Amino acid sequence: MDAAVDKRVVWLSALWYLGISLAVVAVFLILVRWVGGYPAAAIYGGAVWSFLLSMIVTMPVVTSYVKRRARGKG
Amino acid sequence: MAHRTITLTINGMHCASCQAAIETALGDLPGISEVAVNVSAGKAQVSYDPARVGLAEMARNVADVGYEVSEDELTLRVTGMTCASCASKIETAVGGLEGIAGVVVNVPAEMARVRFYPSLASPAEIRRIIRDLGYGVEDRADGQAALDRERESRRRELRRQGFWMLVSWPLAFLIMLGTFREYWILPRFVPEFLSSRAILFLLTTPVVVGPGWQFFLNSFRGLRRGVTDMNLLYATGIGAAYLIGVANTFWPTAGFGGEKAVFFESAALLTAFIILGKWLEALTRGRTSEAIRRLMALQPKIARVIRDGREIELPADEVLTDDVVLVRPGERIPVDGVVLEGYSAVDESMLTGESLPVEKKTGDQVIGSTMNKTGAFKFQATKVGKETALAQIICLVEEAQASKAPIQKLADWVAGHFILGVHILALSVFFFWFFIGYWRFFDPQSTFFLTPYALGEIGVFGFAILLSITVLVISCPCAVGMATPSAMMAGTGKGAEHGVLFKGADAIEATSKLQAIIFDKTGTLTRGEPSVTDVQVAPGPWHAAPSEDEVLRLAAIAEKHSEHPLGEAIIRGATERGLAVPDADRFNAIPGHGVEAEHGGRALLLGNRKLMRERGVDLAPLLPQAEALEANGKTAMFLAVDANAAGIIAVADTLKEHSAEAIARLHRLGLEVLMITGDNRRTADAIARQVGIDRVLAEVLPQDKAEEVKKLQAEGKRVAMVGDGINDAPALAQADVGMAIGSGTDIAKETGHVILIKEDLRDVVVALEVAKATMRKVKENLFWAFSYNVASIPIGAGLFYPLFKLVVSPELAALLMAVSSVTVTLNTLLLRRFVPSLKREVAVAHSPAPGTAHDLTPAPAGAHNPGSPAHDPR
Repeated sequence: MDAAVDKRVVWLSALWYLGISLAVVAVFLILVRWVGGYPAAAIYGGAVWSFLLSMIVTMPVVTSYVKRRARGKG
Repeated sequence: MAHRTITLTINGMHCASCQAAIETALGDLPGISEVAVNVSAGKAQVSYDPARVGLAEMARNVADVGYEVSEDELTLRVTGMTCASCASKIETAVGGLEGIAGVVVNVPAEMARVRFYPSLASPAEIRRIIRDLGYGVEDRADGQAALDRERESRRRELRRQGFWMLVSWPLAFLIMLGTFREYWILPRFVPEFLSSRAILFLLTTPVVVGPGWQFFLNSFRGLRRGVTDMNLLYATGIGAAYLIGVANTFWPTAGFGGEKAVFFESAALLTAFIILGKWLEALTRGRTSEAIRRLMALQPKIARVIRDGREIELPADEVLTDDVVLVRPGERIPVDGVVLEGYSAVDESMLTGESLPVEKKTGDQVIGSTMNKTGAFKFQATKVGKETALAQIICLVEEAQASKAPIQKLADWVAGHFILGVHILALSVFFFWFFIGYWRFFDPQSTFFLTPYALGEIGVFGFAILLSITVLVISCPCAVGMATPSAMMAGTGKGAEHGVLFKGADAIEATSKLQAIIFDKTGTLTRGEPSVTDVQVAPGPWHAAPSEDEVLRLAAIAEKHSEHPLGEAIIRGATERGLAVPDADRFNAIPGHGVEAEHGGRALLLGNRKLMRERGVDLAPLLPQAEALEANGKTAMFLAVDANAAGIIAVADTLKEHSAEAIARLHRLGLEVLMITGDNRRTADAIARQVGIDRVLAEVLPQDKAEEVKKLQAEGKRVAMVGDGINDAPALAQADVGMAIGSGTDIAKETGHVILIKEDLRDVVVALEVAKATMRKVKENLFWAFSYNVASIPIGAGLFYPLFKLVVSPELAALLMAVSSVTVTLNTLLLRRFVPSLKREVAVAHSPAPGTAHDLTPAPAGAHNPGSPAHDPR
């Protein structure tokens, strides 16, 4: 795979896994607001932890999917 | 979607019709827009839509029309792998490269085998991608060099993890003392300053950035390539525990659980336990491949060669074919060859499993690396270097160890997808305890398992993340991933130790499931050459004192100049009885009937009934005996002396020494045993009766044997075919397991899935027992590994917290995880003690009974007897 395609894969996958992870954080924050009564640090910590785990889950899945598609396009 | 153009190298093309065939084969595939084949260059340029067609389909279509897309194989030694997820990581990354036809990674063997299309992928690229993932890559070396490298690499890993243990354990111990200073009798011994959060921070930081750094680095390398492995679980667990500790040390009111929830001891002990696990794995992993190392260690270093009339010492790998090699008593034979001069007994047990030394005289074959026991001899080298039997055995065992059994698919799938699954589970556990569990079930008095450490001030975030981290750490699929390959390695090695070579892990699995075994008759159950079985005498005027020896002697004289196999059998029979066989005065072969000869003035006639009838010999007194012999599958030949019936000589293909015993043992294992032969039904039935076979497939032409195997498979049976591996090749290939017997030193030429080096049919039983013992070990390992995960994950996730108010700490989770991997490896190592039933019985038979003249000491109660059933690790 040439460098240009490689770069596009990196950007495109980053866009996707960041988007999905932020969506998970958004769900977390909605639930926090709905349940209520959490200290600020727990909210920030929980958001960071949710974001981190979501990134770990989505990063390899999204990257290999985008890579496969990009290779298809040549 | 855009089209791509690639160039494939194709083997086997000769002319324009080849070109047309390949263009049609590739052009027929959907998604191929253009194919241009150049016959002289052996290349095909293909434009295709990668979304619709792949390289594998192209290669298959080319193979369908009789050609081959050139495929190279690269075998690499990969260092630094610790468990199945490492294998999965490399397989995903390398398999994702363009032009890769297949990749198999074996963690215990530290081996990666990659099949690739050389026009599309290069070995350099494959090596680079593995190196980028954080592993060491080297080309596989042969023989001693491989042995040395493997040992050195394991030592390096042991030294590295050993050093990190020396760093992490003392610090972790101090951190633990500091954390729990308020409990038990500790206040009396532990200085107060040690419980200071700042000191704990200073002690924990070197553990995380020193020994723990490898996990962060390796997970980063994996994530960059889009793959995850166990390092990510470790890094997440250690990193999260450490960061929460830092937050609660410097900003205790920030709301992460406060100053009582620093978690430094979790980060430090977690690191220490994971490193302990890695060290133990490195220590035990090498043991499962001990068989191959033992084989490699057999290779002698020095050879004594006679060149230009002088005896010189050379490194063994410099011996050339046709060199004359000298071997003295107690020396190892350096290469394969044929004895020219001298006599000795050679211990071949290390290669064939044969326990007794084998006598060697002029003209006999000797196998390199076997041990010369008694005499000195000279031999001519026939196979050197990679051609020797030992080199071929090592190669075969290594290839088998690098292959994967069907049963491993589930484990691989689990190990490969587990990491992501565990992170999803950890996120779900966090969400549950953060939003629901903490509010409903949390009790400030609750503690960790095995500690008095109360969770009082931990807070909602601290509690939820603690359980989330524990799930990450406790869910390690290492044991699941190691369960099958480690047992397969031990099993193939154990087979090789007894002269049974399994060509792959799938062969072991298939052998363990067999229900029926078909034996080829000639050359497999029988010796494949006729010999004299009976001699019967007819009283009468032909001799004053007739005897069996005289009948045989006269028959041998008559056949002396015959080249017929039956005649040769008679001469051999007479010679074996020590009878002198002089030349006949006159000899005449009567094709299809027999021979006539004259000796000492007497007319000898030897042949079938028809010949005797034509010459007016009265056979009436001999006919009942002849019919009885023929009913037993023997060929009866009549001897007449001076036109008087003198006797019968029966000739038949005889059973090999251990055939009947092997069949009886197979019956005891509950297998259906069949015999297949081209012989007529009567002869076949007679042999089957002698050997104790249940079912006979007679009058089957060689080309129809595979069809008979297929019919048996259609009955729903898993079938093995045992043959000599040459003319039975199609049947061996058709069978679920093809066993080629008696290959001796020509292992590379053998077809079949299992190769039995010796010509001893009892090794079929050994193969079955080794396969069954290996698969039992695989199942036990998988049971323990899955049980560990099934039991530990719910506990780690806090499923029982509402009932018992106890939480598994991350460090205890790390200990459990290490224990599960080590348990599986140790269970596999028990296979090293496995001894096939035959060898056990021989050992028992040869061991003097207590109280005999050899052993006058009474056996103590519970004495260890290597042959006793209790010794059997199965």
